[in-house]
Amino acid sequence: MTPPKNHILLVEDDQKLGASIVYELQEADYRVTWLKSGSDARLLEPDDFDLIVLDLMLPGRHGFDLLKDYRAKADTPVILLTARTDTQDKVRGLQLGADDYLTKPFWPEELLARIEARLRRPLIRRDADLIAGPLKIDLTARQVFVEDQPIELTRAEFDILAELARRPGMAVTRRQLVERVLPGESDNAERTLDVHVSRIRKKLADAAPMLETVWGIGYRLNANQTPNEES
Amino acid sequence: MKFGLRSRAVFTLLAVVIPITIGFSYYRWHVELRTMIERHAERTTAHIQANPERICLPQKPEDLVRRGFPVHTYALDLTPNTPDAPALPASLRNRLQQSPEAALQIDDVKDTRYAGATAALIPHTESNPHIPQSCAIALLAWPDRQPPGAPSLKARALFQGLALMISLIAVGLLISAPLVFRLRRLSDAVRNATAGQFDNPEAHRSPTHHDELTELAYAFDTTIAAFHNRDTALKEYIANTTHDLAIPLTVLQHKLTALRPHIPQDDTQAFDHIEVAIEESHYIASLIANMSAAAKLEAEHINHHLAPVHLDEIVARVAARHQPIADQKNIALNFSTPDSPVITTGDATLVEQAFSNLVQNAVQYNNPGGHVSIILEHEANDHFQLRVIDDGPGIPPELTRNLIQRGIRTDDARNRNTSGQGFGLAIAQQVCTRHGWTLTLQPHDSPDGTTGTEAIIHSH
Repeated sequence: MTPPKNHILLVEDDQKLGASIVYELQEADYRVTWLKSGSDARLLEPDDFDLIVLDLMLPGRHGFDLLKDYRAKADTPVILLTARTDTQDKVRGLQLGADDYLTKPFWPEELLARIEARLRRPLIRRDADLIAGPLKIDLTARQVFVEDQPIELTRAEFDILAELARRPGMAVTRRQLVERVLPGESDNAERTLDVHVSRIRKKLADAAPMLETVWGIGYRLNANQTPNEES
Repeated sequence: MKFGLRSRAVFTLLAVVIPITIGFSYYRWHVELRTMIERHAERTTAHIQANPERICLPQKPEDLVRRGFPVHTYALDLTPNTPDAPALPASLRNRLQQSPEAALQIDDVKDTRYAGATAALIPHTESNPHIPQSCAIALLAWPDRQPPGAPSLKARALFQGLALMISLIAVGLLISAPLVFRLRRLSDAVRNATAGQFDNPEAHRSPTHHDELTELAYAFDTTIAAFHNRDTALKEYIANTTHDLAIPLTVLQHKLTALRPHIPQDDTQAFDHIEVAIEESHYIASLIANMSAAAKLEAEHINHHLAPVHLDEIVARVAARHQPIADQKNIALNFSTPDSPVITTGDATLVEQAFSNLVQNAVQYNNPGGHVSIILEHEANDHFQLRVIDDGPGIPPELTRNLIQRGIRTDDARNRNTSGQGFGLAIAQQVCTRHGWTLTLQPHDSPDGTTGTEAIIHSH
């Protein structure tokens, strides 16, 4: 099933930049409403949108004032676009309730990543379960399933996987994993960790590519990992 | 050795005052002496005249001493009545006869001990029947020129000289001290003016008290105001320029990004062109941000925008900014932050720029297939450590050295390639210093045997 398209309100007065952003958002499969003046944007109901991308320097009404208007009405996520490198603007924007900001110039990828981060539905997390792709981890029963097939892991192996699954998509340093999972190990603790991880990978079989090695850092559990991608 | 205005004034005063004091003391001593001699001469003459028989016909030895001075008597032919009386010049007799009863100074007496002695002719009159003819002249002498028991004339003159000296010095200081004070206040104010607002201390004086120093202060006022205006104008110019460049640059970056998917897979040349264009636009963006940061670092001696900064969010933001270029260059850019927020106090824009520069360098100079990792970690006592590691060719050692020694140099900015790298690092270095952190650059040996660079920011 395809989820309904997210509706994004873009308030940006620059013709060319606005057009570029609209194009990118549409390419990324969002529905976009673009307004070029602060006075027009004021009349809209923020609740009608899933997310608002708001420029600060606007004709008619300043971005901060719009932000105040919107915050008075709804909690729709707001990402500020600021051309200024002034720290004050960022601090003030966040104080007024903006969720995030981007300073110009920025890459389209940055904007899309920030929008996705705001719209991303939290991972399905039943009380003690972590589910990422084909992987399911039951923290209370200390059980791991790949495509609903139970996997036998040692105590240390389970702890490592659970630690990574707690922050899916985030790289976790070897040091932190050792501190949390292999306390007391002194010499070669990181080597021991690597051995544990290679055993986990073997046991995970099809789901093994999800457990990525991150150069210079440690490991990451990547739910979106497609096989054969080098880390 | 450096002398202040005050000590100079004291030296000058002493140089002038000491000779004046010496001369004055010497003069005072002479005057006092003469006065004393005259007074004594007068009194003694009166005494001689009142009691001529006691002097001319002394009954006891004390009669030949007057207030400590020896008294000699002579006959009219200048033969002494006493054996130890000095010989007198003949001219004296004539002078005495011309002005009887007057006390005369004797100048030409041979015996120097008696020089300046007083002589008086005591006439033999009917009223003075007891005075023998032989006692015609009385000589009052002061061989030591000083009667015993009299106050020390030298001490008195010296005391007067000292009093003069002290009063002269006091007057000198009284004149110079307020000037010195005002000059110091003015120079302090001018010094502070470079750090912020110039508060003209002379402006607080009432207009009736205006003088040359006030004029000087106003001259400073005008000059400093002009500098401030220029500084503000430059800051505004940079702010406006970065602002004006930001939008077209964003458009440019977005158009280039939009263009890339439309290039046929087999047109490697076109791919090359667009990737270079994308990289260059990224470089320009970072250069503009660094210019703005440098202007900010130059202009603000005090942090105006200190606020809590979430370093973990900044790391994610910086990684996201460089991700497109890293992807294009086939460089694996990864980051790791602790699961609890890392919060510090600082200027978010500057901190982001510092972090960004480290990542920018690591990505820009790395080879295809290389790695860059950003690791933010908590340290003990609320400190943090940020590491940016890569397996690239590394930073030239002389650049690292210069960075620590010189800080920001504009010629670093003009040169691209390795020196352009230096500009970003210098900004990072300055931002760290501003926040009380340390930036270290060192070779990094990764477990896979490659050697790269490790940039470390420590908050302690």
